[in-house]
Amino acid sequence: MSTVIKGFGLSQPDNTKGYLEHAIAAANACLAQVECPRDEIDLLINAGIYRDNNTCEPSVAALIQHGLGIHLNPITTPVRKHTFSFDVLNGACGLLNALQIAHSILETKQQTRALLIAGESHPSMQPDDNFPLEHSAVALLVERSEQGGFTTFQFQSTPQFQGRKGYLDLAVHQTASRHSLAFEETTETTTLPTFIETVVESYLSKHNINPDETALLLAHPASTLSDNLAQSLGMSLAVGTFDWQTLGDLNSAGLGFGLAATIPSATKDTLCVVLGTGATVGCALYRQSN
Amino acid sequence: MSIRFESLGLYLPSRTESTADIVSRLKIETPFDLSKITGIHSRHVADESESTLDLALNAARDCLQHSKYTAEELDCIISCSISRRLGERYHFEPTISLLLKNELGAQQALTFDLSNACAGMLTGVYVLESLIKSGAVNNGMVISGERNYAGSETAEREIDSIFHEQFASLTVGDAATAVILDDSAEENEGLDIVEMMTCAEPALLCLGMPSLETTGVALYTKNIKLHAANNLQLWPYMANKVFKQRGVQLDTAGYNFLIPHQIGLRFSQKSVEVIKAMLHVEPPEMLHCVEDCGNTSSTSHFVVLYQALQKGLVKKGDKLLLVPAASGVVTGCVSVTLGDLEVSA
Repeated sequence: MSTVIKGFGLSQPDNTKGYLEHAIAAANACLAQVECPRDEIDLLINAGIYRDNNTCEPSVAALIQHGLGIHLNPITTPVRKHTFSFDVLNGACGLLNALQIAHSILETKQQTRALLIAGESHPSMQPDDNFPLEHSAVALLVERSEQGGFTTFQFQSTPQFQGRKGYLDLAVHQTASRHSLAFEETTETTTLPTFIETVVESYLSKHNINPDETALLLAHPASTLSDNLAQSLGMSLAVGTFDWQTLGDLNSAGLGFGLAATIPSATKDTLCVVLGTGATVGCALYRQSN
Repeated sequence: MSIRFESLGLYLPSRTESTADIVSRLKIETPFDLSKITGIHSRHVADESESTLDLALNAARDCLQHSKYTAEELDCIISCSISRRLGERYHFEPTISLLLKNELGAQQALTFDLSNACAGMLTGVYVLESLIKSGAVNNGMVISGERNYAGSETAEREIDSIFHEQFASLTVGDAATAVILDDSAEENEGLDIVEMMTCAEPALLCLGMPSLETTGVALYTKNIKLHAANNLQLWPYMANKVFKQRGVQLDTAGYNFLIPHQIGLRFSQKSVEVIKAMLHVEPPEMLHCVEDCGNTSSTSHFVVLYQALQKGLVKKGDKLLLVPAASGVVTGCVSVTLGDLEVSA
C-alpha cells in the first residue's frame, strides 16, 4: 500500500496573518481543489510548530478542525466518517513525520483520507523582526492507494549539530509571553552536508533507488545545500523547484511548498529530503503513478 | 499482529501540595469544597529545578528497568507533554523527544513530539500502534513529563471570582509516565481496540496559553459548558458504535476496569449517569488516582494503571478500557488485556 497526494492548498507568505488564518486558508484551498466533502476526512494532522498566542492546548489541529467546520458534533450533525486530529512537532521535518504517520494509520486502520497541514507564524500574529520564519501554511490531502506515492521513510539524527532553538522565556517575556518568542541559531559546520549525504545514500542503497531516474527535492532555504547534494548523488533537481531565497525559511511548510511546486508536473520519482533542528535528516521517495 | 504494553514507567515528584492549602491561599472565599467535589486531596509537585525533560527521563529509566529493551534498542520515542518546560523556557524546537533520545542514548530511535492536550499519551499509543503494525518500527516508547502545576500557581494568583475560568487549573498535579509497546503480544494479551475521535465544536472551551495578567501559563476552562450533557454524550455515542461493530456491548465485552481521564470524582459520576441513560448498561468499575495525584494531564491513565499494578488491583489477564477526555474535544476507546508487567514498589 502507498500514500498518494491528491491535492495541495497554499497560503502564501504574509507576515500580517496568524497561523490559524493561514492554515484554514490553505486547507480550504486544498479541499476545494480536490472537491472533498468535509465529512470524508478520517485524520487531520497539524505539523506547524509556532502557534498563535503560544497556545499549548488544545491541539492546533483541533482549532483548525473547528475553523474548517469538520466533525463538530457527530450526534447533532451525523457524518460519514469520524475525524481524529492531533499535532506532530518536529521542526522542518514535521510534515514528513506527519506523512509517515498518516501512511501507517491509513494502512493499518483501514482509513482512506488524511488532511495534513503545516506552517508557522509568530505568536503575536504580526510581523516581528526577530522571527526568522515566514508566516505561511500548506495543506496536503493524502489518500490510501495501490500505486505511486510514498511507501518508505527514513529519519536519522546526530547530536553533533544543535540547529535552531525556539522557545518562549517566561523569565524574560513575563506578561508578554503570550506574544513573544526567542531564538538561538548555531552556525552549521562544514560537515553537516556530509551527514545529510550519508543519510540519503543509506536510504538510496537500502531501497535500491537509481539516482539517474530520481529527482531531488531538498526542502531547505540554503540553495547551495540542494545543488551540492544533487551533484554529489548524481541526481537532477526536481523540476519546478522554486526560489527558496525569495520565499524565505518556511520551516515545517517548506516540504509542502516544494511538493506543490514539483509533484503535479514531475516526470521522475522524487526523493524528498528534509533537514530539521537537532540535526535530523528525513528521506522519503515519492513514486510517480504509472 | 497484536501490539502489547511491554513495560511501564512512572515518576512522581516527592513534594506534595494539599487542595486545602491551595484553596486557603486564594484571594476569595469559595462557597464549595473543592476536595469534596473533585475527590482530590493532594497532588505531587515538581521542584523548581525539575524540568519536563527531567521528569520524563525518570519515567523513561523506570520503564527501561522493567523492559527487555535497552535504550539503544528502542526504534521510536514519542513525547506527548503539554508542558514543554526547561527552566523558565517553553521549548518548541528542538523537540523534547530528541532531547530524551540524546540523554538516553537511544541512537536508533525515530523521534517526534505529539500534542493533543490530555489525550497526548493515548494519541501516542494510537500512532505507535500503527507504526508498529505497518512495519515502520518494531517497538517504541510513548512518554510524557507533565509539569502543569505551574498553571495552578497562575490560577492561585489570578482567581478573583467563584466563576473564574481558571478554577479547573487547581486540580492539576505533576507526573511523568512512559510505556513501551512492541509486537510480541502473547495469545490473549495486547491492544484490541485503539480508536479515537475529535469533536471540534467545543474546541474553544478549554484553552491553555501564557497569562496576560501575571507571569505564567494559564488554563482557561468554561467548565459548565465543557462538561454539559451534550459533550458527555460523545463517549457513549462512540463506544456504542465501536462495540456494536465488534458484536459486543460495553457490559458484555469482558472488561475488569475502566480508566477514565482523572478530571475528578464528580465528573466520573456524571459520566456514569450519562452512560447509563444512553446505553442502558452499567459501565465497568472505574479506577482513579485523583485522591493523591490530582489531574496529571496527558499521563493520567498510566499513573492510574501503574499504581493499580503496585497495589495489586489489576493483574495479568485483566482487560481494561482506557477512555480519554481532552480539550479539543477528544474522546476514544483504548482496550488492552494486560500481560506480565513489572512495576517498582
